[in-house]
Amino acid sequence: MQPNAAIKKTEACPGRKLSRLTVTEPRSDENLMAAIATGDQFAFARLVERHLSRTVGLATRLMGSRADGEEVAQEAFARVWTHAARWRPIGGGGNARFTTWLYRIVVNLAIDRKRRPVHAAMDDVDEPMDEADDGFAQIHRRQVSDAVAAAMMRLPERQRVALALCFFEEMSNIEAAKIMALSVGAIESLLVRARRALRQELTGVYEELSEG
Amino acid sequence: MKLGRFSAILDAYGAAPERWPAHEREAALELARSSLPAARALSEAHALDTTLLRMSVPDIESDPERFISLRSAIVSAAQPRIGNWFDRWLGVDLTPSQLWPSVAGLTVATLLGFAVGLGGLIQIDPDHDADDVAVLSSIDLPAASQ
Repeated sequence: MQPNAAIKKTEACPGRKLSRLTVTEPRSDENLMAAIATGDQFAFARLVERHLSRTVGLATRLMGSRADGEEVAQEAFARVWTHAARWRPIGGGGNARFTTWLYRIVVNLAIDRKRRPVHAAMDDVDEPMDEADDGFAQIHRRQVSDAVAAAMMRLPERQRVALALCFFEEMSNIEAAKIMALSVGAIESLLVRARRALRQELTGVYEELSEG
Repeated sequence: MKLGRFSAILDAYGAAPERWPAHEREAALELARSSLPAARALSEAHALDTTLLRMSVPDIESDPERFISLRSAIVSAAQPRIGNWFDRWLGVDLTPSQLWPSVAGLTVATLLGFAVGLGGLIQIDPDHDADDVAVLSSIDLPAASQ
């Protein structure tokens, strides 16, 4: 039985007293949030399971470290739990989808943490080993990954956030604009500056890749 | 579409047409097909995309043990909210439109209570003697009289 599905018992043939189970659509984020607002921990567990992976991914790109990314994700979900009653769905007085609200929390927490003086280096971003690669290829891939990550971390924070949302998380510029509380034009401008800066920094790297 | 706008789109969104603004996508693709400089710019943008995507952030779901451990840590930290009912009673979780009847009711009750109290204070007892008060005060409050 799927834990995320709302299941209701319906009578298929009332005359014969037969019954069947009807599995309805998985509960929406809005539905889960309404339950979380009343203190439903099962709904919270379901919501965490659904969004944890992407939240950690975004936070890791913004923080430059998997460990920091996980911490930010943990804190973001703690805020979701604490403030669930304050969130309003679209049409219910709110103006943002749950994910927009969640990613805004993640972005704000990441920016706050990056402004603190001490932070971890990129060294703990692990790369999964591709068994098809030989040792040299693995080292080369790791070097390219580190070079890109380091260049990302040198970007001004708003450029980095815009690039992480639009390029890596593949969000629309409209959604990114809502998360960052900016206009679509401003997001586009941040993206242009971010990619131009990265192109300059990484010219050697990507020319080498193109030739390879 | 002019080459300048095409380059700006590539600079902002990269080489994948599905990421370009929908209302400009067709014109941009047409330019990429018909203009050599546009095709060259597209190729350069593609090279940068490929490089950026080499930045690997492993999906936590590819490590089930870590995923379960992190999820458990988050969920177990979410303790039942003792203050939940209290917040609701106070109206902390209500919108202003939901809150105003409670505020209005509380204001009316306060004003009513104040009016009743004030009425009791200014009530005049015709049998009351001012000298009795003076005598009682001197007996009950010796410290104050010294």
